[in-house]
Amino acid sequence: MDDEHLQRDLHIAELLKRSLFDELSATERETLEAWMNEKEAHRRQFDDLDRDALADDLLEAENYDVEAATMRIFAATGIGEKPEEQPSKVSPLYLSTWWKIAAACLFLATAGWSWYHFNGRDISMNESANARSVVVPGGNKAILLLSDGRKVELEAASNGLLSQEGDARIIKLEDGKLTYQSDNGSRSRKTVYNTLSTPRGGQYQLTLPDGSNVWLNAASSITFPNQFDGNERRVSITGEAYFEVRSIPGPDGKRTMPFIVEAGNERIRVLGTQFNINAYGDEDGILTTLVEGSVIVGHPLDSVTLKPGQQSKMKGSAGYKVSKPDLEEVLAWKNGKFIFNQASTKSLMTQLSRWYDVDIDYRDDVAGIYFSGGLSRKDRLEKMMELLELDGRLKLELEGHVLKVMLNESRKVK
Amino acid sequence: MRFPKFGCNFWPLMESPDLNDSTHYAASLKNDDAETWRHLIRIQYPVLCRYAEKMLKDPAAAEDLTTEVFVKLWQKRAEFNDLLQIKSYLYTCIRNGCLNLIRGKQREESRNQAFADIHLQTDQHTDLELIHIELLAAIRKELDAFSPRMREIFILAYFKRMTNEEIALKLNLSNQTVRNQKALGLSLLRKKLKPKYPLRHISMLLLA
Repeated sequence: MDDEHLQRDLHIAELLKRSLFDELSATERETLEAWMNEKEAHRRQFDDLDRDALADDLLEAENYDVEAATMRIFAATGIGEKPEEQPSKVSPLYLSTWWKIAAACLFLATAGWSWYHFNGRDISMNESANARSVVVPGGNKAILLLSDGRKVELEAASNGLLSQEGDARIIKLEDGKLTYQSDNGSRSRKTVYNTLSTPRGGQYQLTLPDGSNVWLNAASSITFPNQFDGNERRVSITGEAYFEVRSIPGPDGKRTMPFIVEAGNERIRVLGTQFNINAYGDEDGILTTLVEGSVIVGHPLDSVTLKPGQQSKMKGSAGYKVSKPDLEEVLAWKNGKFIFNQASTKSLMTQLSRWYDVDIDYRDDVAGIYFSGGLSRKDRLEKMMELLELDGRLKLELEGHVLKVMLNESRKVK
Repeated sequence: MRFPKFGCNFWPLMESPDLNDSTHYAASLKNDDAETWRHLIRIQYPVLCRYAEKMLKDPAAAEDLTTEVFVKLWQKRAEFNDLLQIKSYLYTCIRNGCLNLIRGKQREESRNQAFADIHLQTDQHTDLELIHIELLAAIRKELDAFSPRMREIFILAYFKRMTNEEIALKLNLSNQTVRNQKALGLSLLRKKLKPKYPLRHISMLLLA
C-alpha cells in the first residue's frame, strides 16, 4: 500500500473518530462525504458504524494485558534497559572545577536503615480530624539524637531553641522545620555528631550548620556534625533525603568546600548543590539522580559523573548504569505527592507502607501488576485503596495497621 | 513526562508522548525511548490482538503473533522515519501473519472453505479493515489517560448508551461510583480535547 493511500485511510479513520466524539467542521464533513460517495462499501462502513459493535471490539481489546505484553516485548528487545548516554568515567577522588553554579542531585541509594534504633510506637500519632481511623497520612515527625545521647521528639517540642551543640544553636522554626545556626566564623573546639531520624509516616526539613537544606522522607535518617571544618563536609544518610547544598568556600578560600554524602557503599561528591537522597534498604539497587549541575557518584568498584537528569544505578561488578528517569516521579515525595509510572505493586505498597505506617500482607502473588498514576500524600489511605481497587485487579483490606493485598476474585474467575 | 495537577481523585495520569509530531514519534522509537514504546504498545497492542483474534479465532495465538510483530518492528526500527510507516508496517505484518497461520493450518487440515474466503478478500476490504483498526486505535488514544475501569464505564455509557444503573449492575459498582467515574472521564477528555473541539455530543450524553 502506498503512503498517500495509507495517509488518506488514516485521515478517514481520524474523521470517523471525530464524528463519534464531536461535530465535524464543514470541510471535514465534506471530506468524509466525498470518501463515502466513492464506493458503496465506504458508505456501508460509515452507516454500519454501529456503536455497539465498536464498543464490543473496544471492550474485547481491554481484555488483553497491556502491561504483561509490554514486559514481554521489552524483555525480548531490551528496551528500557539501555543507558541514554555512555557515562564519562572519572577517578573517584578526582574533582575538577567543572562545577559552575549549584548542582542539584537526586540520590537514590540502598543502605541499611538505622532509624529503628530511635523509633518507637510511643511517637504520638497525628490524630487530626480523622479520629475514626487508626491509619492516617504521615506528618511532620522526627527524632533528634544529640551527641550526649538525649533524644528530642520534634513533633511534641515547642518552637524555638531546643538545644545547643558547641556553637550551633538548634532551633525548631515551625512544625516540620529544624535549623542549626552558628555565629559566623566561630568554631568550637569539638566536633560532635547529631542524628535526625523520621519514623514511618514521618518527614522533616533540616537546615544544616552550613546553611544547606535537607528534606528527610519517611523512615530515613541523616547523621551530621554540629560544624563543618576541615577540607570537606561529610554527612551520612539512610532512607531517602533531598539536599540543597549551599556553596561555601573551602580552606583555600577559593574553591567550594566539597560536600559528601555517604549512603551504604556509595559516596556522592558535590561542590554545593541541591540534591535528594533515598537510601531505603528495601529498594533494589542504589540509584543516584542528578537534576542540575554535576556530581560524582563513587563506589569501591566504579565511579561515574552524572549530567542533569541522569540517574545512576550500581550493578555490582558491571559497575554503574546510567539512565534518564522521570524527575517529577523521583521528586514526588518531596513535593507532597505519590507518583507512580508503571510501578510494580510491591514498590507502590512499600511506599504506602512507609508513609501510612502500615505493614503489607501479600495474600496472593501480585507480580506483573503495575500501576501508573498519582495522588497527594495528604490523602487518606482509604482513598488510595479505593482508587487502586477501582482499577479492578486488586482487592485490599485494612485491618488495624496491616494492609492485606489480594487479587480480585471476580477477576481470577474471568 | 508531565502529570496533570493533583487533588483530583482519579487514578491513572498517564501522559502521552508528543503524538502530533509523527516524525518525532518515530525518532523516539528509533532511539529506544521507553515511554514512547510503552505508549505505542498501549494503544496498538490490544487493537491488533483483537483484529488477529477475529481472524484466527484464538486469543493466545493472536497475542503471540502481535508480540512477535512488535519485536520485528523493533528490529527494523531504524528504517522508519514516520509514524505512518510504522502503522502501515504493523497492520501489514499482522494481516500477513494471520494469513500465514491460517494457510499453515489449512495445509495440515487439507483445504477448506476459509482458505477460499481469504483469497476472495480484496484490497478494498483491507482498506476498510485498516480504517476500522485505526479507528479503534484512535479511540484508545483519546481514552489513554483513563484507568481500565474508567474506560470500561465510558465505553458502556457512551458507545453502548447504558444507564448508570445498568453499568453499576454489570460491573458490580455503586451508582455513585459510576457517576463519579463518568464525570472524571469527561473532565479528562475536556482537558485533552477542548482545544480541538467542544465535545458537545459527549458532554450531553454523559451528564444526562
